[in-house]
Amino acid sequence: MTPAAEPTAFGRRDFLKLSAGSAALLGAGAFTAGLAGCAKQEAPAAGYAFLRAGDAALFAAIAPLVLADSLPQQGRAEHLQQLLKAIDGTGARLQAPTQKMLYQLFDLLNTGLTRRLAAGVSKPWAEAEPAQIEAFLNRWRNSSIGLFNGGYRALNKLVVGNWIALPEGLKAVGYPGPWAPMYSALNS
Amino acid sequence: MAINDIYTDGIASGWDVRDASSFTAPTTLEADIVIVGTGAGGGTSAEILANAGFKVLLIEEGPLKTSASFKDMNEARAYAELYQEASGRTTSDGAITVLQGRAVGGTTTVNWTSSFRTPPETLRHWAEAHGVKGWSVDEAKPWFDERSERLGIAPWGVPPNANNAVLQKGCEKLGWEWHVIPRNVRGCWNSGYCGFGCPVNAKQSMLVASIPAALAKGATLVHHLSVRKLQFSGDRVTGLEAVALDANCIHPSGVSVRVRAKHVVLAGGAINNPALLLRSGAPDPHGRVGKRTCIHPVVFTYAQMPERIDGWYGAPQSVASDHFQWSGQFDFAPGFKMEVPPVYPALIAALFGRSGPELSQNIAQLPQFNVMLALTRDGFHEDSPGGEVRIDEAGNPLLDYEVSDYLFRGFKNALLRMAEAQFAGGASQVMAAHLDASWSPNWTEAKRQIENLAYKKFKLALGTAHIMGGCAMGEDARQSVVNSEGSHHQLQNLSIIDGSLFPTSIGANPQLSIYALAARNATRLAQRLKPAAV
Repeated sequence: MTPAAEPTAFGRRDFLKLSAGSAALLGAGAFTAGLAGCAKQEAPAAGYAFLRAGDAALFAAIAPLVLADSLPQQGRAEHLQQLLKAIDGTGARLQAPTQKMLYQLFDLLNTGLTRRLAAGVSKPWAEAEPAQIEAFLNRWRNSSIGLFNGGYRALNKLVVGNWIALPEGLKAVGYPGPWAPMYSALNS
Repeated sequence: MAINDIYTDGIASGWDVRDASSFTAPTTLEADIVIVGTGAGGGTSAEILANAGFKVLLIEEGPLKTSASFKDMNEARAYAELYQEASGRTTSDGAITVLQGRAVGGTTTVNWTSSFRTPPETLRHWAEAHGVKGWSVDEAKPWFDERSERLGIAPWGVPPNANNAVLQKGCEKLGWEWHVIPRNVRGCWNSGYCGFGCPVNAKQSMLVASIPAALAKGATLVHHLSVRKLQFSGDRVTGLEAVALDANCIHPSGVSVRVRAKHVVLAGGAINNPALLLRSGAPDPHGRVGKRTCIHPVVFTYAQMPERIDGWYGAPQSVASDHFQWSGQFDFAPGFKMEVPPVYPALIAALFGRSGPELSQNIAQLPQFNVMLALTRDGFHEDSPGGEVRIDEAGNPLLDYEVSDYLFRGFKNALLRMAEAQFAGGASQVMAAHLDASWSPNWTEAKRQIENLAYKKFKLALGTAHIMGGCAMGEDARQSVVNSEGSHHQLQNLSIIDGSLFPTSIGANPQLSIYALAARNATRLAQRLKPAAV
């Protein structure tokens, strides 16, 4: 990790100290929730089976920065909505231990203090500056702390895996569609 | 053109297939033999036991999805409906992605059709190091022959697709061993959609081959039914407690089902079998259940080819290399088998691990991607003891898996050799699947970079589609859960028949290893029980 990749507001030593603390929190979600003092037994948002309101806001904020031009500008709001529904569908099919691990990650990122310390994002996700989100993604990818790399992989996989499986995402990777000789024979 | 749907036709002809999500009241099911799980082990056992005259009940937690629902050839639908946790299953720390099927036919419904016999080196190691009797190279051969015949398994007779051809060409140039992969197909269209469910019933999966054969002989199939516990009395299993799942196959519907059978066969795979035994408090005097759960940890490299190769089309796996599998310094690092995965768009894009323009610009080039993978041999060295399946407080399975320095050295070797093969196979750029890696324009640069990467979980992309062991077979009850024919050491009327029996990983894609061992074990079980006597 290079110093330049770290939050500008902190020195390297401070960041490492905070990172280590945040890493411990990431591994202890119950403690995170306790620290935040809010009830994280929160139900999924209306119309969702897995994502809570804050989780949906998190993905809505990071997805455009993760996907860049793979997410078309035109109709972006509608695409984002489709993507959130797809992520929700995948999350709903995860078994309880995997869901718990993800909720711990989301709690860390949705609690003001740990969001600022671990992700370096000063405002709630819906108001976060794109540059801060981009820096957060890079920092977690490039970190030498495995838990941050793991958090990055989990978020990235949920966004990319679900988006590229949708029709507009498939276009973004140049997929010509289901193999035509078979598809047309079976669907004509 | 319409492809006959085997199950629509079969059910019309009187097959007993029931969807537990439609059950509205508690039910008791009875059979001579109940088989929990319908994958390679359960499907094969069902066919043989039903043919032998037993009243067989097959239970599957996942849904029944058939060729009619595969004709959209859609990746999103496949992951949601046919895979464990919508393909989001991982080891307990999230570091290793686990691809496993969850549907009638188990993983055989979604695998990529590679069908290798258990390597002789593996069978010899089991006899020498794990006390396995009666499954030597010579003793196993007739069972491999018989299952190969039954399931149409033969080396793929069509030229490899361009993605596989990179591996073939690379090996030829470098003078490395390579071979054509045997596949379990009949009348294959060479479309490449095996991973989403075969829409033309060409893949001779359990869904298409063995389960229909069992149903035609009077077996009963109940899907959307999750077995939660075994009940015991003395040294016998007296019943099974199960819960029906809702139509989406996610939550219990609230309807409970009891199952009574004279003999019980577990075939839920290497994660679910140990979890069921642990949830049930099954006798385990030597603490062996869930131990030595081996995987084939897989690492990947990407290559940019100078032209479009459309690696999503064509038989997904047709070429493999064992050049580094059985000769090497195995005290230092494990051996590995080299293959390619299909370039399924979401699968490969999600693996890529990049964000922003770096992601979008690279995945826009997916039509030119070749991807290579190496299956690392697990369980053959003291620093590669496999992982452990345990359950959480609610009884859900977790797979703990530590990656030793020994394995990381194997991963580095594999990344190097794959990159070398990709350049030899015509790649213009190569990159390891690692968060810190970047494209290298030649082998010298790739070598330098791969040698200097940080070999750590999460930095390195790790996956597996093969979970083996956790209910190991062997003659020594202190080291194993069942004997060499799959009979439980402590419970007389319980057999385990699937990949959870393996004392180590296989060193090759395991489906045919499971088919052959299951065929032998189910045949012996039938001889032992005799239909009239159960």
